[in-house]
Amino acid sequence: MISVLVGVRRDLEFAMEEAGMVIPPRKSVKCLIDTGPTKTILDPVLLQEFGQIPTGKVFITTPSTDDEPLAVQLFDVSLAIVNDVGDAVLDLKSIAVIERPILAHQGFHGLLGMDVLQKIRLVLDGPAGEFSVSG
Amino acid sequence: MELDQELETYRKHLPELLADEGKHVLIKGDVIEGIYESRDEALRRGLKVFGIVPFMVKEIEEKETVYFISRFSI
Repeated sequence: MISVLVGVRRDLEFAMEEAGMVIPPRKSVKCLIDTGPTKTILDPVLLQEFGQIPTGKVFITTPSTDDEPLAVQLFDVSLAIVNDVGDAVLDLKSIAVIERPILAHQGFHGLLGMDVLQKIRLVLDGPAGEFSVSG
Repeated sequence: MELDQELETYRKHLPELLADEGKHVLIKGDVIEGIYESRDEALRRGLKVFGIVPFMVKEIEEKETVYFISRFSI
């Protein structure tokens, strides 16, 4: 599990400012590192907190879907990963993430997929019980 | 679900959109607003033209990418 800052993407932030809307601050949430999915997934409750609007649709399959892929919504958000001392090791101004609802009750708000993981270095030292993230 | 109409519009116009495969199309309802080099460019244009409302930006692909999500049981 890793802490991730999620917020409104930059261009939407500007549009909200111009419209006189309040821009919600970035929120720190727990995400699970998952090398399975190629795209990152966030919980819809979290996305609603930021007043996000859907910006696309893609298709997914899961272990429990049939042969027919499922259409799901995309949302473009800002996403940053901060290390233990508070330094940003990755700061994405805009990234398209998949919205799926069954994450929060498992103790995390998202799955960090390979679209994000391919931009950072993860080092797991199993015997030492240590894990580190760097840019 | 939101953007169903936009997805239908994309599918309907896919044969002609394929001339710009790899680029990103901006769609609102049954209107194709334009085709852009990047997703970010299309998003900015969408906000400018339509405002803070749902619209669809989609990469133009001959074969739709299907993302496998290993952890989900839906």
